[in-house]
Amino acid sequence: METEAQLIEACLRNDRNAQRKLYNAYAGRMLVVCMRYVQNQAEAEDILQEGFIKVFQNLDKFRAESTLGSWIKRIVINTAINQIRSQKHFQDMDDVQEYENQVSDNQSGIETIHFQELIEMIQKLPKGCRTVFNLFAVEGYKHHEIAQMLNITEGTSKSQYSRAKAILQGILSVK
Amino acid sequence: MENTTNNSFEEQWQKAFDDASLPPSEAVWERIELGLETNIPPKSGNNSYYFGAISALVLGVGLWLFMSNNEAKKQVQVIENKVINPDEKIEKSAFKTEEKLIINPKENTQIKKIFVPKKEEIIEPEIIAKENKVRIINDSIDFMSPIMATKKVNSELTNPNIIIPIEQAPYYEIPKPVSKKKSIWDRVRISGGVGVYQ
Repeated sequence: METEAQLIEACLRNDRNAQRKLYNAYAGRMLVVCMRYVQNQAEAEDILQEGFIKVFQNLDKFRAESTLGSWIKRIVINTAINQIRSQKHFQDMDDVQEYENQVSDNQSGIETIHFQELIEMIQKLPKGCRTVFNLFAVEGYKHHEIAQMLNITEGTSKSQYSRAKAILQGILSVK
Repeated sequence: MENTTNNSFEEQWQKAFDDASLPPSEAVWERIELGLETNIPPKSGNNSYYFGAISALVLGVGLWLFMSNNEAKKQVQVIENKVINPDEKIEKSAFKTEEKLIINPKENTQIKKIFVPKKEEIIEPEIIAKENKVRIINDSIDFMSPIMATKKVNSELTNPNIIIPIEQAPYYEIPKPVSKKKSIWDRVRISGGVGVYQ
């Protein structure tokens, strides 16, 4: 049985079989991550491809301070953000108060919904607030971290998140 | 309370995607493989890529020079080693001597003397061929061989119309005068005298 450390070592020697094994172990989960940031599978696969190339090219920088899975996920998320940031989807932000009042306190009941349906809901969000929603609600980043990552203000991050949440709750209430 | 509800909302989303997985298409790995093959960055301290490229360049230039030299040598050798069929007519041999004119003197500096017969000077080649085949062949060999150019070519020719003085041939060098050897009798001195026996 090959350990993760052995697999990494083999990948560093450019062993194509080992790289394939590593890819097979994480590609499925990373594709779901990518699909939350873009609107279709083709775009998600493009990000996945770019992300894994970066993973293999920078594997020597992995210091095992976190798990390999979370390290790969961070690279994939950064790849997605870089692509979105280049498209400038964070302009014309709305006021925070506008959406805060609309946020419902009710339970959304998403635990009964399949993740693929949830992905479809997220994909319906405007690109700017979709990214903020993913980073805040799903990945667990703070608003000041998101502001730094996306080169926006903290207030903009909050307003985008509120907007996303309001839209999603609107969709969930219909279901 | 609101904060708790909000946390719950986010936690639900996080849980929903905890073990979520979708198989990507096979093309993604193929593209990754291709990307890794074309974009392998050279590691620091490992200059094998540069050495490889430089050595390949040097080898390529060396091979090209070697091949070009070989081609030049082959051209000369082919002309020098041609076997002449005795049944061939004199037109052919005349044509071969014309081939020799194509040789660049820079490529073969060893060829010093070349006989260049003019086409219009060849009169009735068929008749000549019938009369004396062997001598015609010898003549043509003389024309071909740079070694034979040191001999007196004029004396070997059957037809006086195609004689060209050796001094007029291109790349002609006047032969160095050879010192004549003295005969053994020149060194003998006969002297005579008269003596008285005591």
